[in-house]
Amino acid sequence: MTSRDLSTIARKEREVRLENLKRAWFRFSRNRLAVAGLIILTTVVVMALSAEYVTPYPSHAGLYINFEERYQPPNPKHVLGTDMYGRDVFTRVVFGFRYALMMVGVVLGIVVPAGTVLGLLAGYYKGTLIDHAINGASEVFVAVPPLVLALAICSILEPNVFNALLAITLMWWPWYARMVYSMTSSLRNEPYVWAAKALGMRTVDILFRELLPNMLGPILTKATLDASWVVIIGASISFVGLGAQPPTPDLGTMLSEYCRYLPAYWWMTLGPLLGIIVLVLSFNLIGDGLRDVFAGE
Amino acid sequence: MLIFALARVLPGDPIRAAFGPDVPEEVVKRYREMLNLDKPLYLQYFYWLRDVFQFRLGRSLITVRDVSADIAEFFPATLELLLASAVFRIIVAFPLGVLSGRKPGAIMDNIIRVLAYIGICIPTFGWAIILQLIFAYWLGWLPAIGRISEEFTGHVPRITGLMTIDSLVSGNVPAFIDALKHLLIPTVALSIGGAVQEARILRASIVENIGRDYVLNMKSHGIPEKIIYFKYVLRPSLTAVVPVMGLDIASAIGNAFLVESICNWPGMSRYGMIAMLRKDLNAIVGVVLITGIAYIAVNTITDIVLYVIDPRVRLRGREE
Repeated sequence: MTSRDLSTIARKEREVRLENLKRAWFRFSRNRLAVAGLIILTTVVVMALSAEYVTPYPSHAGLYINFEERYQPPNPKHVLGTDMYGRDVFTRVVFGFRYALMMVGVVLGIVVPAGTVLGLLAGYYKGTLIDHAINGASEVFVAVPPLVLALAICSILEPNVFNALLAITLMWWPWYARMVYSMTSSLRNEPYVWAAKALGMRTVDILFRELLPNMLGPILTKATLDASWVVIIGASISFVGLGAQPPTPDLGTMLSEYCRYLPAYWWMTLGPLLGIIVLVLSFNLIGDGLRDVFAGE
Repeated sequence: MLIFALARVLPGDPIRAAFGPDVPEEVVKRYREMLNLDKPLYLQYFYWLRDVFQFRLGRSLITVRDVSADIAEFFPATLELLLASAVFRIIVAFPLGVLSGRKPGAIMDNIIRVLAYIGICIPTFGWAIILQLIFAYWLGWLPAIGRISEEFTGHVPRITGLMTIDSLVSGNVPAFIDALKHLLIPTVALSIGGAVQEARILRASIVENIGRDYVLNMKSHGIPEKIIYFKYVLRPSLTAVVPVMGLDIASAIGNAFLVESICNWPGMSRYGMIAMLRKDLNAIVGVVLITGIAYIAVNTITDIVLYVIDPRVRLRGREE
């Protein structure tokens, strides 16, 4: 084979890949619910990133006191009402998206690659020491409800955003490792893996260029659906007071601050709750759409 | 293995934090010696393990009792909540799933689909708050917090520790109704999200099984649809739901932490929650340990149920 042939093959490969991507996008865009989810999420992300400009009262995000305007029910001036310090709830919720999205980004950004690599290694070297070490470690984390474990870890460390992130990240990787592990161990004996081995391909290339592309679909789907769990668990941790501390405008923190004023000033609780619902809903819609796309293949 | 890792992960931090900065040094030192905290980590772990096998989980720094005594006091309430939640799931998920699976595309099916989306999107503590707001504060039908009303406190003997069963056994009907009312909000909050999703899964698997060849074969033999549906379609469909349900109930143990603290339910999770907020390490380790055991127990029960309803699982075991 000349180098020219190789480059033709490479180009063909790129074309095929692009074609597949287009087809996947087409199928995704036929799903109205999924597109709605994507639109909601994009809106939320844009709003969160430009929170200083799109919110009516950016200074209300942190410490701000205006007793004259406190406890106002929803009205044109304050869409979701104001809280016990006279802060605009809507503004705070939009700032809260920032923390929630950051949490999702950081946790999934660490957990998905780490879990995937560990799962690949364990699955590829099935039955060896690497397999036992990785699976043994992940079993420990899977044996306790994730939320309890995260709460326990948070409680022992100082309660702040960073440690909440740490706790969620620590408890989450095993789920990816296990999923990728089971896929790898069923794919590792496929003929194309043997062929790659026989051709003398490096192990790294077999793992990442032969095996990994076959699993991207399920991994991506799980990551999107998990994003909503990260939002919920992150909010849960700060809700019980083990995550971000007031006056940080974190959705969970706000919820726990506001639900003390519940029967009378219900709109304060409604704001952050709606925020969580919107985020979770959009991630779920997208995740369902992705699952349908990859299930069709 | 599990215990080892938990013990390693958890009590790694200095215990001093629990006492506050104003306690004189000698007192701290004496406590340290008493709790063996001056020893190296592996010895601490050894002592702790020895105690666990004697059903002692170490002294709580707050209640100054043995953690196992605390847990024994609070665990029944959590168990009651979890059992009620499991029952609620079963009585909600199965009929809904069967209803929507029978006529896919009908109104009932669509209602349940929408419900399922709502169910996923509102987290458990969100449900707890919403239900409290609507049923306790606005409508006033149900009590918002606690386990039983003032007037019944102390009137129900502690037999099993489950308030509803205790009051029923001792023949105290008003107390039973009261306890049941208190139980309702936390139970529904804890299980509604999962229940509607399980209904969806049951529906999907019923729809899949109805399209199978064996159903067509039975129909062509003139077997009544009802018998086909309930006897031959439902059972294989259950095998898809049961594992999910088990997993959900198991994770409800975790969510109970939040629901119990919102609804002021005096259970183990709330105890654990308070321990966590005050850094009561022995109590945290104890609660996590018990939670882990309960988690494993639920998973084992799920496996057994699956074993009963799915003959394929039984066969697989024999082959190996």
